[in-house]
Amino acid sequence: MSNLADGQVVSWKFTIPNQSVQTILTATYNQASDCFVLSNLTEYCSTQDHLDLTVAASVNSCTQPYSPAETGPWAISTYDGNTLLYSNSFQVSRNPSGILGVTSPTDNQLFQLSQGNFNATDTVQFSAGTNTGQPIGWTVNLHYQSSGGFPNPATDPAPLTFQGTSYSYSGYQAVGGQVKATAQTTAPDGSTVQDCVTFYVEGLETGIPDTAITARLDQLYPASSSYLQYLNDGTATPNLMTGVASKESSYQQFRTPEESFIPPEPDLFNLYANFQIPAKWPVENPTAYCPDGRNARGCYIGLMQVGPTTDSDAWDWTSNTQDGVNLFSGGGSSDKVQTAVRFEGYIINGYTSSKPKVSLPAHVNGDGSNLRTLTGRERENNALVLYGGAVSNCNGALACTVNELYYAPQCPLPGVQATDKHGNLLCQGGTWQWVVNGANQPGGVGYADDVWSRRK
Amino acid sequence: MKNKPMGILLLLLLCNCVTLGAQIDSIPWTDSNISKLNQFDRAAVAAFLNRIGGSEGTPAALKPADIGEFKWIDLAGDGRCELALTLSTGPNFASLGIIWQDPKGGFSSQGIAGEGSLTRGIKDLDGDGKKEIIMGSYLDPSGISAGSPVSVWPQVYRLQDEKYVPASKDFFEFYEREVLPHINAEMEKSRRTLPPASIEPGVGALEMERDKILRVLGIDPQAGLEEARQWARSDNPEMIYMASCVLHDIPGHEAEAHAAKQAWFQALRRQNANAR
Repeated sequence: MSNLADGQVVSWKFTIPNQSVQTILTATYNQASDCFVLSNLTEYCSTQDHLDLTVAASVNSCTQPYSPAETGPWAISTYDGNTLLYSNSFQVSRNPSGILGVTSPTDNQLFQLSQGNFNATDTVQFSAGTNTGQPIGWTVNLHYQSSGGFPNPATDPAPLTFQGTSYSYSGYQAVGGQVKATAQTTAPDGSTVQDCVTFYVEGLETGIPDTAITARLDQLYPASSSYLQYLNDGTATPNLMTGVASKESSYQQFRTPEESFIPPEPDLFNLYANFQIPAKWPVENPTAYCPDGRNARGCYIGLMQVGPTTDSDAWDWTSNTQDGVNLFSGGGSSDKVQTAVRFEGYIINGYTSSKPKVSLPAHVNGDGSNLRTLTGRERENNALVLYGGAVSNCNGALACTVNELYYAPQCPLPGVQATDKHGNLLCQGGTWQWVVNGANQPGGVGYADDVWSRRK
Repeated sequence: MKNKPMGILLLLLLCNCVTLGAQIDSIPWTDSNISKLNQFDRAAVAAFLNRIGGSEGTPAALKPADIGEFKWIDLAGDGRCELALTLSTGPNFASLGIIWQDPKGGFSSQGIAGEGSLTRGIKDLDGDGKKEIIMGSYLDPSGISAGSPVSVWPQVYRLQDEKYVPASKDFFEFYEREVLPHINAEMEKSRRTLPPASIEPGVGALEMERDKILRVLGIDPQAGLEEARQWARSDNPEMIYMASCVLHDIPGHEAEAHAAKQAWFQALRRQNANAR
């Protein structure tokens, strides 16, 4: 260097495989003292425009800032201010013939859920070498949360632990995400040494076959408890759930961040941004809205967009489809078909409660009979409105909610609407009809119609 | 003497229990009580809403997990406060609820469909002391989903006679300064990655958002019409679907919207047949 100016800064930086740049050391020239002051506060004086330094950085695969995936191409560069003076490239690799080196899995390796019913990985081989003659212990941690932090808190499986230079793990089932494997042994000086690799479990890269999804949904739904109990009049739609899966996720359990969709699937663990690796992550709800007080994605997940997100709904499409069907018609307390049928009953027969005080009128025809019950097909439409969540703007008010289903009662001419002494709504001289409730519930009606159109 | 700390502890616990035991509806909703009200948890808010909404014990009852953000805010700047909350009972629709306490202690409520945020979506845009609400309103009437390439646009609601009403037209500057430049920048960024003159759902969704704003503000009542017609002629189901949403939203184009929906349906069928 020549013509050194006061305050001139020389720096040394690593470029590591994830393309991030880490400053190792800086030296600032002080003209008055003719010294370089290093960032570690040591001084080099009377350098006569020369600075001979050995710059070293310890690379530990198990600690930041050089993990994960520190193996691969590195560069060390010297800068005068912002001007690049020199750059040298080199490879960092593990050495199984040294103190400790993991050889399998490799950094950023992807394991697909391609086995079983597309919900399990193949066998995962763990291997490491050591020249210490000491045993190698392993701890393997899998972690997953959606981009919005669901499940919250994380429900990661217990760490996998084992001993030996080689271990064949039967594979991951119904889980996925980032896996950090730490191998550990004892060095000749008695100290503990570790080597770490980070790899990933992703969804099936070719996608769950449409035929498999269709077959499963068409089998689950007609066999579900509320379908059999409330919809089994010959009018219901056995393949309705295929429409739900198409509407909710475009029939996709997993997507990569580079797949053209709106918005793109989140880049979990920055794997795409840092390493251009397009892993298949569970499909998250597209807008930054989730319950539990945070504006975030990923509280609803996968093919059927069930939520709040669990590991199995995220990674096992068979669980996701089962839980989606269960939510719609599985017979549980929040089953949408059952809920829709109860609301239908409130509209037909009225509903009263003293605490809290609420009274919904019954709908009585001119001949004294009540408004007819809905068919199975019609009940499906009411249940779809509830599945999509289109009644959430009722703030939990019962009268509002029953008024916002797919169908609403109407007293068509020549009937005349009146109220009897009990508060019931009469259709004098006529018969109550169910009509599509486009006025009060355009969103829910649109949603249900869309689902119907998308059936496969 | 030894009993004294225990006595103080008991007193503190008792005071705490009294606060927690009080029901939301028994406390006057005034600015001076905001911190007390904001101590209630999600379960208490859900129970309160179910009580005043008559849904306790029915399937319409909200669960605590249905409630997102919630807080008491003085929306009207009148010293009284209102309960504002975001709600979601399914993956496709969300809403923002506002509950007013009237001077006699009764309650009234309003629900606004769309994606709301209490932290970013409630602010006094025009400096009149009353807070506006900015909602992510659905560009697709059938809601948002990970299977549809349509998103939301920011719609402004203004407080008028204790009710929030759509008022985007009154906030031209907000859109001109804060919203449209951001959308245009995003579109520019997205277009840089695409071949010239290509159509793609990501950019299309941004165009839909911009054009909706231009229509609502009255800048261009037909904004997006020609693009929608172009999308409707494509063989991409997502683009055709977006076209049907735009055509549906521009008055006088119902027939074209219907035709686009049919074309989308046919495109889906073709796609399904190819998949088989």
